[in-house]
Amino acid sequence: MSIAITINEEEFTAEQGQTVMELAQQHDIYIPHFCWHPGLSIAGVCRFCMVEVEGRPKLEIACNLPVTAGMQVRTDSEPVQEAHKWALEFHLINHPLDCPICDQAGECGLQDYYMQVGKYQAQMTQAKVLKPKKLDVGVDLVLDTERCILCSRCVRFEDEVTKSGGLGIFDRGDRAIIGTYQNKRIEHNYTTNLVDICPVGAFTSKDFRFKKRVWFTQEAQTVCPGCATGCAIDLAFNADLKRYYRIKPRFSEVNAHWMCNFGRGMYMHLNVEQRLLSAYSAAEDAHKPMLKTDTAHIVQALAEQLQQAQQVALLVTPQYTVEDYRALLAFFVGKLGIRNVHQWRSRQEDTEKFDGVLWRGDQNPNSRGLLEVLAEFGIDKQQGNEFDTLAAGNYDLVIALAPQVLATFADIETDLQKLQELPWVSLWASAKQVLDYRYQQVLALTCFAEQRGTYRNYAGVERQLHAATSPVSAEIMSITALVEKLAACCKAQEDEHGSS
Amino acid sequence: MPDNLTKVKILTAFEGVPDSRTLTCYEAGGGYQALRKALALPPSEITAIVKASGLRGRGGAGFPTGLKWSFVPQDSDMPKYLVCNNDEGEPGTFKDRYICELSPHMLVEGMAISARAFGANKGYIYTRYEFFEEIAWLRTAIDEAYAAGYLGKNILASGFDFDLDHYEGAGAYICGEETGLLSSLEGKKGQPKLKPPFPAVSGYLGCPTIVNNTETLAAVPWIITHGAEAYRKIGTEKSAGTKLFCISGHVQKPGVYELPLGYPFMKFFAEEAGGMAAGRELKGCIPGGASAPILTPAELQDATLDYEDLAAKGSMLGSGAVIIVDAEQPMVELLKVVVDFFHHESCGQCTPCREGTGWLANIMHAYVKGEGKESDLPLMHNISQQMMGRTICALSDAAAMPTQAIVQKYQDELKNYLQAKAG
Amino acid sequence: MASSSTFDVALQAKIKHHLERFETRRSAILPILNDIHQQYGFVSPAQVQALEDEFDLPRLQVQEVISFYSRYRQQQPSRYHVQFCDNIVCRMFASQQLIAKLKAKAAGCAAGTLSVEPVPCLGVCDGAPAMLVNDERHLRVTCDNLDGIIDDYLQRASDA
Repeated sequence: MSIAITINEEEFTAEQGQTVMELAQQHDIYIPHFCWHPGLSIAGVCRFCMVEVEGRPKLEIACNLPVTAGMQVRTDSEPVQEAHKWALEFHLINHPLDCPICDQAGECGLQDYYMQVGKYQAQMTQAKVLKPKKLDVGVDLVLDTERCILCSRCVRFEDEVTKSGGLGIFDRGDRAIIGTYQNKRIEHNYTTNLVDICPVGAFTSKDFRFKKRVWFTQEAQTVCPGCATGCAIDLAFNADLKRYYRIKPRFSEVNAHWMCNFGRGMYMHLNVEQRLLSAYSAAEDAHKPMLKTDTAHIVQALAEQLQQAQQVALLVTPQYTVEDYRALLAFFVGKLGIRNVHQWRSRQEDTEKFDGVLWRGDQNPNSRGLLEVLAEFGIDKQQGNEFDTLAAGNYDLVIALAPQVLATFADIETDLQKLQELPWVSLWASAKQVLDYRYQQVLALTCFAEQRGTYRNYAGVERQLHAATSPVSAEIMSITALVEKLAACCKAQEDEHGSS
Repeated sequence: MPDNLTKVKILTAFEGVPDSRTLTCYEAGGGYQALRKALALPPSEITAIVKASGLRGRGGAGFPTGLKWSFVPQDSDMPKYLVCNNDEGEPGTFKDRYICELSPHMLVEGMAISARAFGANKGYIYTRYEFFEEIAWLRTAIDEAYAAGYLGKNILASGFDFDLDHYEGAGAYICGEETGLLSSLEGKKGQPKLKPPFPAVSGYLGCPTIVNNTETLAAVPWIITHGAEAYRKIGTEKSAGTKLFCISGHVQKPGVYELPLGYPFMKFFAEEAGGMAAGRELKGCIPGGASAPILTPAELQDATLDYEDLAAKGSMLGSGAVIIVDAEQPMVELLKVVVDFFHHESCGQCTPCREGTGWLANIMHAYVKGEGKESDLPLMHNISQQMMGRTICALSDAAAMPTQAIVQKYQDELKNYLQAKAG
Repeated sequence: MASSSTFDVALQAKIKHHLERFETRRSAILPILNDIHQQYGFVSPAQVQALEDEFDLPRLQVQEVISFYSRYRQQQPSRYHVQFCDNIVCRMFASQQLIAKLKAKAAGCAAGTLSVEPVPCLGVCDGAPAMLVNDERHLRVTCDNLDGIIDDYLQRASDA
């Protein structure tokens, strides 16, 4: 049933059971708040989201105010503004105001609201309550209990989302203090969400803190490549430096407001020191390190090998986009008629494994997408690792797409080792680590952060990637671009052979 | 005195009776007859009688008792609970203690009747732990009532079951707030629950729950026995019945007195309590426990002890804790004790209360030392203003209201204090 | 469990009784802590851990409760612990002087014998000033009778 209400004299249609806060959020009407979070139960304790309701004697908190027919709400009246200003002052009297050394600066609710609804002269002149600082309370967590405003979001996250109940508020009054039992560490895979939902600098991330002030970062809205769930993420980077700093979850139907710590690490392999920045080919002495080679040269060599080879196989990991698979298969399967396509997956993965929150044992973001594209080209497969059948194939050319995130393959070193024993391998990869091995050639690929495209998650839901930065090097390109280059090269060869 | 203000002994009926706590004595005085009568009535009739009697909550808020019961959803499949708030933590209050001391069975009987009214089959009495003896007396009364068939399964062959247990607090004023009490009963910190939903719909463990004060519940047997009309005739139109007033401070006869609501304050003070102790002079009175704004002698002259008159004078009847403040009591000291108390007892959930009580206490600590400023007084007024009506429960208001009253009514004394300290 | 428990057999029985007494096990936390307090005068961290290990009561929940309620202590109190009311009415009856006197007296006793804690209203303002010595209530305490009351306890301690 829908209900008509007004907010600041503008009419809105609300749903029965909705709160004023939810309605306001839906329509981008600004109501300051700390304790309310759309993914958690209502605590109603920060008392910041005060609004005025026509006919009611007291201001009400929007977060626990159910809409009623004909309700007239004001979020901007003088009493409301006064209440917001005071609510902020109450929050700040015992806050250390250590912004210059606080990593939350720039994305802190207290700072933001001070500029938006505060701007008062502080009236508290007495000493502040002192509390423990810089506590190591778990994976990726540093806790400063003095900065905490006791909004209880973190406590509710532990109780409601991970159901691990690791946090509590001890003591009472202004001595109340957030913490774990005797500062024991919280060890689960979702701890960094506590940092995200902390509206102030009480929880900061060990991994991110002091690396970069947030105002020097930008965010790209893309998808986590860490597993088959495909959480929506904001990937923080600095475009000028082409450096990546962290990953935070972004709301989507798939992951709600959360993501796992494992996924948060999916920025590390993007940075330049981890990357393969150009193409390489085998040295004359095959035991010597491969030599940096012009991409065009390598593609040319590959085109030639393609022409000579009797048995050609593709070895494909499920870590690339649907679009890349289509381009790849359109050429190799559709045009060249190669039907030896092998899936390359981690040996020890348990694709059925699920932790009950978000993380999945299938640590490939596009397992479904790969099978679907294969089927489009008449190759019907089930999920499975076909790496070992490759060796039995007597191929004189293997084009292998290495995993983007090498760490997701439990036996990656053995696999890469075995691969170099094959007669002729063109390895397409993005991680510098592949240069520890010897192949006929290595081609440098872009990473998920540098391209658009689609993954299909475990349930078949489309997940759209958006590029954050341009590629870290001019010598690297996407699979699609490489295939195009290769196709052009092959065509040129054909034309040459045809004309000669 | 007009008829409606003639003293009647309802809650103190057993005053002066030896062994009044025992079941034998209580029964000999007519005890548990009201339960028999109530069990013969349709439950809705019990609620109707209590509604008609005009009985209001005696814990402080004065909410109509029968109306509160009627909020319990009758079509709910969930178990319903009746919880007696015997936490009595409001400074100045010791009336519920007196009921435990005099007639614990009156409370047990009142609870059985009230539970029947809205269909609760389980009840708890929640008492502050410092009442060691009183808790023992209550436990004995419960045991005796079970043994006599007034509690338990199929009470007096009526088919009605009501189990009653006793729960002991652990030192937290906030557990006197009904939802804080329920959190405590659930084994948690005594933090008040967000409303809505109200406990009548979702209380103890999310089940419909009525929380009533000891004095409220103890009045129920008399109302059932004598009828709504008889109760209504006592007191004023809006404040029906009798109330226990506990008077303390430097008066001749501090103690608990049962008076019809609407009774003139000065008459109570002078005649019952005997006026000021020798050599003491009246400076003010906190009429309803620490959270009630103080009244000056001038305001007290025509004050009557009922919800309406004290509210009209900007204070409240509260728990009926009448604290007499004498001229030797420095107001700066009184204010400091009050804000210290609420600072100590704030549960810490809601920001304005958690921070505001601490802020007020900080200001007063400096002030007492002579380190204050005159501007502290308007600041305290403003802080208090922003603490009122802003939080989940009324503790914040309870700290703010008396602060504002003292700051306003005794500001000359407060200012003089500062000057004297400076000089 | 019985032989290796942190709690003696009688206390274990009480704990089990409380755990079965209410609609939820969690409701038993306060009654259990009250019983532990009754017996030992405090709740040790080892006991909190034991409540989790032996009775499956989450230590975090127990610790939150201990920290919130003013009754609960985590260190052994003195043999005689005085809770002296220091609220509005008792303050009018010189509670501060009496507390100071008690503190001085406690300082003169052997360690662990006597301690004093100012507390909020004890609900006996008609008998102000009031105090609890362990769980015994004393009313109308004065500078004159305070010594006698306390000395009785100390005498008992030295007799024992």
